Amino acid sequence: MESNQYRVLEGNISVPYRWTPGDIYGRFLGGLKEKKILGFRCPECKKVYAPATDICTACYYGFKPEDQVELPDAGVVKSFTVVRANLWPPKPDPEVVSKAIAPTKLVDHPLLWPPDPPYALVAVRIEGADTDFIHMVKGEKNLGKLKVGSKVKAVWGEQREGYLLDLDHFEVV
Amino acid sequence: MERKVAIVGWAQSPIVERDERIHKTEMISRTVAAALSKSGLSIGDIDTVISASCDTMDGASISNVFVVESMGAFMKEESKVEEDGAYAALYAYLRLLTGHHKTALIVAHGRVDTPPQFYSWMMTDPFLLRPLGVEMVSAFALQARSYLSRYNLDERPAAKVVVKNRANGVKNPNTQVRIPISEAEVLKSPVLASPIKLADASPRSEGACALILANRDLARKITPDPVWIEGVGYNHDLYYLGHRDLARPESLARAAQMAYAQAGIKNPRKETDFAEVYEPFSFAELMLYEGLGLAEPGEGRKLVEKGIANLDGAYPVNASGGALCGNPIFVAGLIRMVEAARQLTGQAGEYQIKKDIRRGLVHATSGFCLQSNIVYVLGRDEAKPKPVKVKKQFKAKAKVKVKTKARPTRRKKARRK
Ligand SMILES: [Zn+2]
Repeated sequence: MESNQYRVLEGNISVPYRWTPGDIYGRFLGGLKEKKILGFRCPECKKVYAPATDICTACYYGFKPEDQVELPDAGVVKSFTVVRANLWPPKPDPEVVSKAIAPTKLVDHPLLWPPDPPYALVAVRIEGADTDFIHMVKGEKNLGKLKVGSKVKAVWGEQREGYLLDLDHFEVV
Repeated sequence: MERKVAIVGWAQSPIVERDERIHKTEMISRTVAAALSKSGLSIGDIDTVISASCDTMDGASISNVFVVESMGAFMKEESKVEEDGAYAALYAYLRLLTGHHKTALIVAHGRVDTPPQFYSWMMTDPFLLRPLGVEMVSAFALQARSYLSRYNLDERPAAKVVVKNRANGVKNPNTQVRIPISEAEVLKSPVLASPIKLADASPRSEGACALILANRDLARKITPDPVWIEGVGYNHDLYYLGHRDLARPESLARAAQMAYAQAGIKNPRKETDFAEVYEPFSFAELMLYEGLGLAEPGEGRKLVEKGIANLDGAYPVNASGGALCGNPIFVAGLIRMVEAARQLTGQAGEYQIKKDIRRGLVHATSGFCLQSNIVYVLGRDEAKPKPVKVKKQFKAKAKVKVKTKARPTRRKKARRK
């Protein structure tokens, strides 16, 4: 006799959400659409944040649109990890995934599921910024060259819609 | 610090990868029953219940509502933290300090009903981190690289942490991974997200843990060996990984200093005897040595290289095997408190620290990359506890009623009026 005669329920929760970036984050994401990395400079301590944040964490100053500064689309790797193992279960039905986790406007975006390994997560100090931008480095050629201190440059996506992955990845230069 | 609140009872379910035979509620109620039995209390003696669990993992909003019965929290005052159980213990501790309650039950439960990657992925914001697939392993890997690069270290010291904890875990009947491992095996294990390899990561685990706190007067009546909370510190760092210094978690140092100030500790290495820390990954334990002030920045490796942190070392860390041997999310930090209480009362069995110990440190963390940290200083009475035979889990014995219903303070208050 089976020791457990009960049924283990399997299910999926699909819940629609609408997430609004607001003005400051919206400007940063909108900048990516124009192939620009925008920073925000605190008028009190002069620290430049890229990516955006609504407040300067040193001064608790609330950023305003005029604090925006344009930065180069290049920087230096401060930390990285090459993801080698597939940490994720197989990608489920795209319809299910998009409903569960993606902004509904972006259901057709290719990256609604984490990328297939290998890829690297990187912390990039954008030139002129005082914080690090967490993003990706892709392609074995780039991964092999990746070091703390590597110079990297943005590779922009063809289709851009005001979303983080308008900047497709960084490549080692 | 004045000793006002003590740990007077505890229990944990054995940590396992997955037990399909029991309902979450049974896992909780059996653990609570065992903790009550151990302290000789009945559920009616408990004034307030604080739980720790995760809505995303449970797949339900405010998921503690379903387990009020199992926790014995009905017709009482109950609340939940969406953090590790060590934070639920803080909440309960602060409640006892108000004087409104005399006893508190803390219940942490973590079942991996959804793959842990989903749970940690859902901890990210939808704009900046979620599109990158950032989850626990890759986030901690970024931190590990920051740390190694800051201090010019290779991966061997972290491997030594794994070797130490796994050797200890073999002796712990409640933990999940009880197989020793060599340094070469750790270094050769497959890379998950560099520099984190499979053996550097804690396993996928589930379990429950219960802890009972009582105020000073009652604690002495409940047990001859109360474990006192002598200090507690807590601090929270920034959320976005690129906006903080990953190599040197500021919130950890601040939490430790706050706890030490309360306990009157200037040098934790000299004034405490051992530590139980929550290390989700091997690299984190090295950083914890430094943040807790047990080693200078970049020199955490010395504790493992010189065997100081070994079970028979001068300052044992994770004698229980730590989270690397069993990491039920939302529970593992509370288990560190239980493990420290076992050590201080001489109930750790095969992994009992042999040297005379009086005070221990407990650390737990929550969030990505040691974002939030909590540190306790726990101490026992001056007299060394008599060796106690460890009771078998889940075998409730006849209950010894403690007359908490007499409510002495309330009468006092009434008289004052
Ligand atoms: Zn500022």
